[in-house]
Amino acid sequence: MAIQVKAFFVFIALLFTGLLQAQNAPLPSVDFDCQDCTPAQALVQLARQTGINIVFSDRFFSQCPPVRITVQATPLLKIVDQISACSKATYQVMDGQIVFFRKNPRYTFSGYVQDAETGERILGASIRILNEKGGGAISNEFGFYSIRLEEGTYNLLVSYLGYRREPLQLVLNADQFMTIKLQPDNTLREIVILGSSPDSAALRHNHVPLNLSLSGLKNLPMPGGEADLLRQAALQAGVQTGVDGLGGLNVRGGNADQNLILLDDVPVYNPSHALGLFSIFNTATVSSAQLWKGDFPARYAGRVSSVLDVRTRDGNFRKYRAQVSTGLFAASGTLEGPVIKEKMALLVGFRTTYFEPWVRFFSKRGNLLNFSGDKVSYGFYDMNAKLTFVATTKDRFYLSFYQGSDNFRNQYDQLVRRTEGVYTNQYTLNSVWGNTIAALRWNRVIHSNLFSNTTLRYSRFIYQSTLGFQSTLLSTATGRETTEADYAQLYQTLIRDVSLKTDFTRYFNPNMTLRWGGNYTRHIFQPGTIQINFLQPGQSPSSIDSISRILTNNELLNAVETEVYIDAEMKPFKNWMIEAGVNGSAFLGRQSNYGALQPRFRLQHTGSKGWSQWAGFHRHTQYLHQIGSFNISLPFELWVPSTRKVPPERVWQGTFGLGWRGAGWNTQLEAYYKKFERVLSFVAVNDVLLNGGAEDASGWEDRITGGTGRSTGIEFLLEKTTGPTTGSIAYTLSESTRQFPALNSGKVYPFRFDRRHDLKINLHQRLFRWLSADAVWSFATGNPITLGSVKYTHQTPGGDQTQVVYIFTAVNNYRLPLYHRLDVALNGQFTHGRLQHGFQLGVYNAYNRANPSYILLDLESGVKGKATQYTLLPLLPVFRYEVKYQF
Amino acid sequence: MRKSTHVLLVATLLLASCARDLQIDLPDEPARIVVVSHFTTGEPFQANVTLSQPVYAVDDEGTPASVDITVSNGGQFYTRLLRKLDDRGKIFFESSAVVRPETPYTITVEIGGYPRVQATSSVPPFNGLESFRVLDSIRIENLADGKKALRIPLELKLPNLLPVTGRYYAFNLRHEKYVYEIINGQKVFDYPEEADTYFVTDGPTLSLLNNIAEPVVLVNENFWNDNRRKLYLDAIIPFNPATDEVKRIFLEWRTLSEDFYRYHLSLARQGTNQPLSDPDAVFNNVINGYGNFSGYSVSADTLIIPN
Repeated sequence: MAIQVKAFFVFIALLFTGLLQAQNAPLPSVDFDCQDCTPAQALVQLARQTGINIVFSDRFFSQCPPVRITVQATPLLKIVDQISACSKATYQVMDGQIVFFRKNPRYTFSGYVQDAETGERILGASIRILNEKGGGAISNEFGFYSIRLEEGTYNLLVSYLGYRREPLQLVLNADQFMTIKLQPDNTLREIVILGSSPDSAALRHNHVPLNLSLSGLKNLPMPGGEADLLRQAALQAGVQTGVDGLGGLNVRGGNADQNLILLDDVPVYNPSHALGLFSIFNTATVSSAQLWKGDFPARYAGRVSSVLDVRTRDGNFRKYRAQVSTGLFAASGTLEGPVIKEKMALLVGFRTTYFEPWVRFFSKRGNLLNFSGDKVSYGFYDMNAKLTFVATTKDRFYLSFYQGSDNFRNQYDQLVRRTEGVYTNQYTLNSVWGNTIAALRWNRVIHSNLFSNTTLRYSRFIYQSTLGFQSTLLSTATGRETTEADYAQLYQTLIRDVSLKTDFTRYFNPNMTLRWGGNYTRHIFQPGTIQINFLQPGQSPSSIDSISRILTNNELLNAVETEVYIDAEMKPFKNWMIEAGVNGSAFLGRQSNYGALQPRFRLQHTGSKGWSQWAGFHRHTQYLHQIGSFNISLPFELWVPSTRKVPPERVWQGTFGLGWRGAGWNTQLEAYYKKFERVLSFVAVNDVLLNGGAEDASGWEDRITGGTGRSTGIEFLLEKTTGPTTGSIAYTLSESTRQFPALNSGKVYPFRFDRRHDLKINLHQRLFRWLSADAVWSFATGNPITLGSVKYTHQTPGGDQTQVVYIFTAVNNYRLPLYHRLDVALNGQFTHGRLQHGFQLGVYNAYNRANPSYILLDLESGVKGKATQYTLLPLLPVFRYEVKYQF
Repeated sequence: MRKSTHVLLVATLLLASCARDLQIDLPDEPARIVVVSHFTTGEPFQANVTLSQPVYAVDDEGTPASVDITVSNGGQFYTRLLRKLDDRGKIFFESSAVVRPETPYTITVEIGGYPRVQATSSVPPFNGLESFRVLDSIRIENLADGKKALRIPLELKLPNLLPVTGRYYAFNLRHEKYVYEIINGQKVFDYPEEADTYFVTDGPTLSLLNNIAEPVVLVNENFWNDNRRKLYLDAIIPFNPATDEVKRIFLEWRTLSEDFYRYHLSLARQGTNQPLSDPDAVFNNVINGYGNFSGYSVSADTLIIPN
């Protein structure tokens, strides 16, 4: 730690030394007196007095009144500033001389970048100035750009991944608003599979955020051929998931609930289907996805580990287009087109699954989910819709909607023969869960260099589970059937947000962009409502007896979260960039008020020959927490607010990196230190009610315990981004621990997803113009789990009760075997007029590595070390066929 | 070609099994002495002593043949525990001297061939209830089997001034009812019957009560946060109106040492060792061994149930 801290300060010192050297030597301070002089006279007097040449033209000061200056021991340049204050000229210190020259008027070049064919806005496109001064702008998350430049003629190059580069000559003699149209380039789309476009990256001088390439995503072999954004995110260095995707994303040692996942700027509380096998994002509707691994700017807050910002497409403003895709597990369809040509576009996407044969396949093999019934069914669906309305050239409205749902049903019948008769016991579990998300947004270009976005947001996640048990007895003696037991239990957990958010972006000049804004969110939580109906024989199902009422937990919580932020992106000197900001937030919950100031700072230097170095410090606070028995972000785990007893989680992270980019290659090495000043864990108890796998939430506040954590690591990335062969190698060496006074006897233990080594190799080879091959190989240290090796029986003398006690010498004391897996696929694309076909054919887990999801020790066999290993995803075929048609 | 395709297909399906046996290289943990002893004021020390076993062992651990158990106080020998048999013929160890309140005791257990084990604890200062009462009217509930049950709302109140830390309590409810015989239409007393009393309460309270492998219910220390001093329970006592009369409810209230509390809380949490959740390590205050040596103080209250 001490070495890390020293290294950080040495780096900062070197940076500032460089900054100082970049300045000219200071000019002297002098006494100066000049009364009722013209500025020209004053400058001549000053030059004579100091012996320093001052070069100017009288015309620069022809409109200026006389000046009166009397100063003592004042810096020379300050005096020059006073003298020339009224002039339209500026000056520079050059070789020890002060040289005045005429100020050029400055104008703003702004507008949108859009797809020439569809009219959709393009996010993250680069507008580079090719003249000597360089610089440029990146279109923002709504496709807007703004550059303030001096009057003149400029050569620009506009580019974006998958589009032809568009050279522009700009004659700037007044403010200009221009919509730049880029032509799609399908050839290029197939070649580049990862990362940002080289132009965009060069402009940003930055290695964050990671832009997840959607064209590359479709080529990656994934289970069933279902392109998945979260699985692609997990291929990045420093990002991990549980085995085969179960358990959500874990970024640099963070919990899954510590990721802020946004869909069109709205927080998503459950980003997965099928317990993590698939994400909720229908990639046919996604426009961009950016991932920050902890070093996110101040405009993002509310989570402590990472941000995944996903934006959906606007839809086609000119022509109708349909897309249908079918894979082994799911099928999706997308329809888009103009409602009013060039003014209003609609995009509708739908995805559903035909998962049941696979569920039966898994259930018969006794897999992780352990579906024991013979009437098992599972399915999910997604629906996305987006309406974009161009009201004026400067006003746009967006209405986005998402609805997704998972449904799991398991019915199990059991016959028990007794002397009194035959009992028929029927268990029925029906669980439904999903997100509903809506956003109404208004973009306004207030001024050519001031952009605003105001969003009304709604997000809801609900999990409902009903468990029924009915027992009937067919009496041997009477031959009559009677109901012996009948109860139904409803479990529900809910979080619902309504919020208003507004953001402003001011583009001062190519070297300075300022963002500020705020939001107000009202949260409603229902952390685990349980209602149990015990029915008497003959009672109607709606009647509840008095005992069951007492077991009902019906807690509803409100909380208000507000935040304001300011974010600046500055290039104070050539090749230097500073991103600095602060987010101030307040949280008003049950009997508690919390506030936090979260500073964010990042400094980057881009040197010659493509090298760059950076360092950052970021602090984060989180007021919402997901808790449950498993703590791996399963849908029945509860979202709860910070309260007086449950304080917010706090994390800070320091990063230091070195990168090189050039000639189609990109490499970077980044070290991080992440301190979890406060993290939470839910302490489960043994009185778990039969609520469909969910934990009874009663008394949850008193069952949360606080602790600390630490995560350190080095991430290495090597990417080849152009040419017929592209790919990446991402390696992470890391250690992540937790420490809770109330757990593991207060000792430090490895975090559940701590993996010392994590390697992902991704290769894309273009075989023909229409065919490419992709392979992904993942390798990682096994996850830690807790296994006991010793036991004894607890019984006090004379006591009636006994308990077998398994001695866990430490939590997470054993590692699962190494995780590794190879996925391969062939991807083809054909075009016949207005019809485009594409297919993917391959194998997931090609050599059928049995990666264990968990291990159960066999305690009955008497054989040392005998255990059963459960694997979630064995070898699986990958298949997808998609067709697009443009009307 | 066709044959090889079939072979490949069958091989693929066989390999695609999701659950398979695995041999884990579990570390060889040497057997250690296990001592389980809870003690309270005025009673002799009692202990069960066994040896730990590998998790895969299927045999009963039994009591070692030669065991020497002593209890000391402040480094001075206090008493020795001798081998005895309980009513079921099971071996345990008991002292002749009795426990004194708030005195730190150290138990030492020696068995040839095993490291000597020691543990220290004491009976904590007693922190009794301020009141124990029937809160509201007693109701009669109809049960599913046609029988009836008394539902008795109870309030257990602790004093307002509780210790800042160490709020470790447990309780047990029992009741006594008289069973009558009907002879010639007359109720004739037959015998008294004493049994454990079931209770129900609200969800948040229930979540902070743990059933443990002792004849008491453990109250989570967090229950007493927020200046909460009262514990509300509804005692449920099944009875036959024709032949039974519920007479009394007995409450045993224990103030626990931290050693007792932490040990049993950690055992209670072992119940949720689901495959994907983190189990907690068992609290252990026995040096070089396993088990628990801990004290508690106890009081008894009785409520008379009106006819």
